[in-house]
Amino acid sequence: MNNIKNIYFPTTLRDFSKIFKKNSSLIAGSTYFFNANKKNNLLNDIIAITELPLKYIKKDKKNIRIGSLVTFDDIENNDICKDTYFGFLSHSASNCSSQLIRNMATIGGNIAHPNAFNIMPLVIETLNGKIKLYDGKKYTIMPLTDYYNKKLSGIITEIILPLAYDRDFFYFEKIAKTSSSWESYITFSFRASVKNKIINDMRLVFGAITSMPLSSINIEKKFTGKEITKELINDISKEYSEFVYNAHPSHKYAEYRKNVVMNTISEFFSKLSKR
Amino acid sequence: MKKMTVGKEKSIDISFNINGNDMTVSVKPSESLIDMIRRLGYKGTKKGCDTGDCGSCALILDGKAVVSCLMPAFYADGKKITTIEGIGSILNPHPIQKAFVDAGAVQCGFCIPGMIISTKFLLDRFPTPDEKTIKHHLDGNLCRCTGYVKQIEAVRLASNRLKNTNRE
Ligand code: FES
Ligand code: FES
Repeated sequence: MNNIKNIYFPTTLRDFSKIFKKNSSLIAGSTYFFNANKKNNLLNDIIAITELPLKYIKKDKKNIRIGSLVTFDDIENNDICKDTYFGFLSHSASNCSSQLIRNMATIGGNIAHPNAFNIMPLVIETLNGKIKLYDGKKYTIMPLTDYYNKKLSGIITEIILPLAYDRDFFYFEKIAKTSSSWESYITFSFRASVKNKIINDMRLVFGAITSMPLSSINIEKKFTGKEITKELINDISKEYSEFVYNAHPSHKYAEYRKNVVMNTISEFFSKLSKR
Repeated sequence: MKKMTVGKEKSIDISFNINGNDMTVSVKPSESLIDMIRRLGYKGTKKGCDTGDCGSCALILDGKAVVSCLMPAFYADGKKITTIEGIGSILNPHPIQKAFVDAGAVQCGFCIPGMIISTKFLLDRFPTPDEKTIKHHLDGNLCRCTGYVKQIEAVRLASNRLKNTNRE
């Protein structure tokens, strides 16, 4: 970073658009960028986006909108996040690393730097959320997978989470050495809606396995519309444990993950059947 | 829009308030906040892992406890910093510091400045935290000596004592 010439602190997106170039280096909460780039002598200019007006959590009729500069601590302690989705957002945010990091790390940064252990991409996937990207000229709203697959440049300004799932059943758990570990053996982020024991909708997402959140539309489709019975619980647990195992069979925790997925899914659907 | 331009000496001048004192300092863009703080003589803030994992470099920046090893020094521009020296001193210890000593929560002491910073942030926010909240707020401060039990007791003791003082 010693060849940097300028550091900009835009306070509006208009100012941001004047200085942003495709390969601009953006820094926000600084839990990732600074250490990763300290010795990078190719950087010319940095845009510190910390002063942009993107620190808000709002609720409208259809969605929750969270500005990308909101930190994990903000989400954990925000009333809207505590009260929606039965506290799923706050609970998942509280699982991010340690308090000192939750005070700094922004959700935008957690999305922009893909990593198997990141929490926010799991949450967005579980809720079929979207992200809003500003490339200096226009805003685009897209699913997370588009952002990752198309490798688009720009600044993530907002995540949009539909309230349609507000009354669903949620489950989030990070299985790690310690609760403050950044890394985990596996992370579960589940959502399902069940009526009269019939699965109306489900979204089961796994973290820490692959760099992107892992889920299976095929398994979800196969079991949606089915009644939760003992046999179904067996089948779905087996299917998911194989699925997760096969996503990374050579990993040293592959067998462990297989077992823990089996047990967790079985418990999740057993609880659902009693709802 | 604020713009910092790196000068001929490859450094930038930043201004901030540290423990109540205004200061202007030259920093390199790659200098971390912990390195700057210690260079200025605030050696109570420790450098353990330098990767954000141990919490020994914690300080309070604009009211939030953060790790200073992951943060560039230029982020301090215009900000208010509180280090362990700004919380209390040997002659005039803060009730939190006193509680840590009285509870027997200090052994080698390396992690303690970070622990005290996290405790200060916690008690400013939740003056009477339960055990779960204490553990959650101190989860970024690693201690290689004590086993944490005494430190949780220390936070409780500090919380009780602070009820009866008007020390910030
Ligand atoms: S030195 Fe900063 S967290 Fe360890
Ligand atoms: S008292 Fe020694 S590391 Fe905590």
